[in-house]
This record gives sequence, structure tokens and C-alpha cells, in this order.
Amino acid sequence: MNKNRRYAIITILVTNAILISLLESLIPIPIPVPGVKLGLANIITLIAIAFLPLKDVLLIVVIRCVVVALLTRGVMMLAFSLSGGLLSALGMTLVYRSMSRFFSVKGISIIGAILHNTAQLTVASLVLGQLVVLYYLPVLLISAVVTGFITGTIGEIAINELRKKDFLKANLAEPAVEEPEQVGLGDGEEQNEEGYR
Amino acid sequence: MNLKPMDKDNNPLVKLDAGVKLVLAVMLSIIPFFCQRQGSFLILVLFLGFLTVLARVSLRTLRNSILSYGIIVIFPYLFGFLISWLTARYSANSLFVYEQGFSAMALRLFRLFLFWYVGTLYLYSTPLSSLLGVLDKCLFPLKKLGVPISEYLKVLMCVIENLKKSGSEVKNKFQEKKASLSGDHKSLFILNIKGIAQIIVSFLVDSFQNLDQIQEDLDRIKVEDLYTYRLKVAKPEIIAVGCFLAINLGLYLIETGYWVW
Repeated sequence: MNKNRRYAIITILVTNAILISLLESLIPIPIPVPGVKLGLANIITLIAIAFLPLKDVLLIVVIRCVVVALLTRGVMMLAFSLSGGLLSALGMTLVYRSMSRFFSVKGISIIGAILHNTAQLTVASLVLGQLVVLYYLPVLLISAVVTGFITGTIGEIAINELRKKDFLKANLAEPAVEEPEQVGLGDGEEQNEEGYR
Repeated sequence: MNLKPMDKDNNPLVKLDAGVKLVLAVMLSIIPFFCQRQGSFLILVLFLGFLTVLARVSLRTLRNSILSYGIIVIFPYLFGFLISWLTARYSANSLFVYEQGFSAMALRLFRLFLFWYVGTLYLYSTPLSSLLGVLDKCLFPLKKLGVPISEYLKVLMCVIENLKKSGSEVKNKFQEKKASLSGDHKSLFILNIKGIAQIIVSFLVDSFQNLDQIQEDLDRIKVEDLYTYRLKVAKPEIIAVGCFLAINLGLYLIETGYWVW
């Protein structure tokens, strides 16, 4: 695939991830807990895991974290969001690619949320040099299960919708270039040479 | 999140060379970790206050910076501290006794806050194009390893441009669709998960209509058109370094006891 077509897809997915996370503030949460948010941007990571190779998934996470850090002017936020984002993306990809028979997208999303929160709190603990921070982990883990389930449910529906429309696959192809016929995108997860699904 | 362009500000801190400013900012953020005396912290706080006024940092940015620091760092710490104290008190188990004094911890939290704040000031006062230019130079070891840093920064810039274009439009669309989904906003995300998923899918489908356009932009635009950086040392940079050295001298005198404050 053309390099810039690949970057254009990444640009669109990152832009959507940031916009979706911005829209989160418009969705009221019944019980607000400090440090806990829905993490709707994770839906785009899930979609990327389902359709793109690992390298692009990680690139999407890194660019999203850097852009958010630049726009919110939070240098230290970058350390927290990168650690959480990369670990959860790696974990979710690993589970999706090797254990998708045992875990649904919801389950994978919950695993991602748990990894994300654990990584962030571990970084906070390292930065502070205090293990006492980890007492907050149970609160974050419980919330990770809830938020991971919600984002996983939305992500699952979104992935199925996109598959039905054969949408991403159509866009992954070069314009005006005939695409060779590919088989469905079920559990078997077939990839082309570049890892696109 | 502030989607306004950072390049529009026009003040002495913004005009300062981004590379020189980065070196000064890194050093300034490390200095609090070497300070012990209250006088030193007072000088640092006054200096950062002066820089805040000079950079004309908005109250919103200040509030957001303090709030995010509080939520991410202070709240989990205080929560852990409280649980640790309660567990030790009611279980009478010395395993849970929290050893570090509160004042030592408060000092560490304050130093971290200063570190955090210097980073915020740097990002606030540096135009995005200059910042990416400096990043491009700083990440040269990765370039040597074959990582296409310039290409990635081009994508990053493209994302920011896209956000500027579509940010408010998407917000309006979302509010319209949200209103059409349900009258009861409180239960929106519980009852209408499918609806939100459809909104997200429609956003994605809509945004992919621009795919060819974005690809064309990426083909056409050269990295040099988006950002460039060349080290510039003029009067403002010399004044900035002079101020920084003066502050350091003051801190050194206080820390060594030559100047009692």
C-alpha cells in the first residue's frame, strides 16, 4: 500500500479518537470517580486492532497521546498516557490475535482497560517513589471492568458495522486499483502481506 | 482541551528560540529536586509566577494543569495514604504503617508540581511549528535507526489541522444526534450504547470520505512547509540565559548559606 495512504488512514483514526474522547465530556456519568473516565478513544484502538497491523496500532496510540499532550500542554501527562496506551494496545492485540476464541471484543476491551489503569498507576507510583499509591488500584480496576465493558460493547458493534459495510477494507485499497478478492474477517483473521485485515 | 492555534500568541516568551527555551526549561524543571531551603522554593515560585505573567497564560490553562496534576498524582496518593493510615490504625499491624513523614512527601509533591508546571509553561509558550522542529532535531538518534520521525511528525501536524477543521462541526453533529437518540440524557450511555456506536461508525464513515484528500495533502506537503527549526541566538535568548544564570546564582547562594532568606 502507498505509504501516504497508510498515513492518511492513521490520520483519520487518530483524529476520530481525539474527537470521540472530547465528546466524552458530553456524556454524563452517573457516579464520577476521580481519575476515571469512559475512555471512548479506546474504541478506535479496538477498531485499529481488528483491521490494521500492530505497527500501525502502536503508531495510532503514540500519535494520539502526543497530540493530546501538546493540545492540553501536559508534558507529564504524556508519560502516563503513553505507558497506559501502549501497554493496553499491546495486551489487547496479543489477546485478539492469539486468544480471540476465548475472549469477545468486550473481554479484550476490559483487559485493555485493566492494563491501561495498572500501567498509569504504576508510573504514578514510580514518579512519586511511593507504593502507597497502589492502594488506589482496586478502585481503578473495578472502574476498568465497567468502562472496559461499555467501550468494548460500543467497539464490538462498531467493528461489526464496519465489517458489514466492508468499509475499512475498501478504504485500505489504493484508489483506482482493483483489489484482489479477500475472504471474510471472522475469527480466522486473514491478513494480506502488509498485515492489513 | 484547547484547539486554538498556539502560534498566534505574540509575547517575549513565544519569540524565544524553541531549542534554547527547551534546554532552559529542562534545567529549570530539574532544579527543584536539588533545592532544600524554603527561600530557594520561594525564588523559584516567584520566577515561575513572573514567567506565567510574561507568557500571559490563561486562567483556564492554569486551572486545567493544577486539576490534572491533582487528579492523576495527588488524589491517588492521598487515597493511599488514608487507607494505609486506617489499616494500620484498625489492624494494629505494623506492616501497614506508612513510614515516610507527611512533610517529606509534601515536598516531593511540590517539586513534582514545579516540574509539571515548567512543562506546561514550555508547551504553552512554544508555537507548534517550532516545537515540532525541535522535536525533529531532538529525535535524530531514532532517525539514524531508520524510524521515519519526520513522516510521523507530518502525520501529527495533519491530525492537528484536521482537528481544527472538524472539531466544532463534530461536536454539533454529536449533540444533534444525541438529542435525537433519547430525551433522557442521564441514561444516555446505558440505554443507547448501540446509538453511540452508530454515531461513532457514522463519524468514521463520514471522515473516510476525506481519505483521498488527506492522502493528496500528505503527498503534496513537504515537511519543510509544516515546520522548520534553526538555532537562533539573539538579544532575547542572551537575556533569557542571563536571567536563568542569575536565578541559579541566587539559589546557589541560598543553598550554601551565603545568603539567608
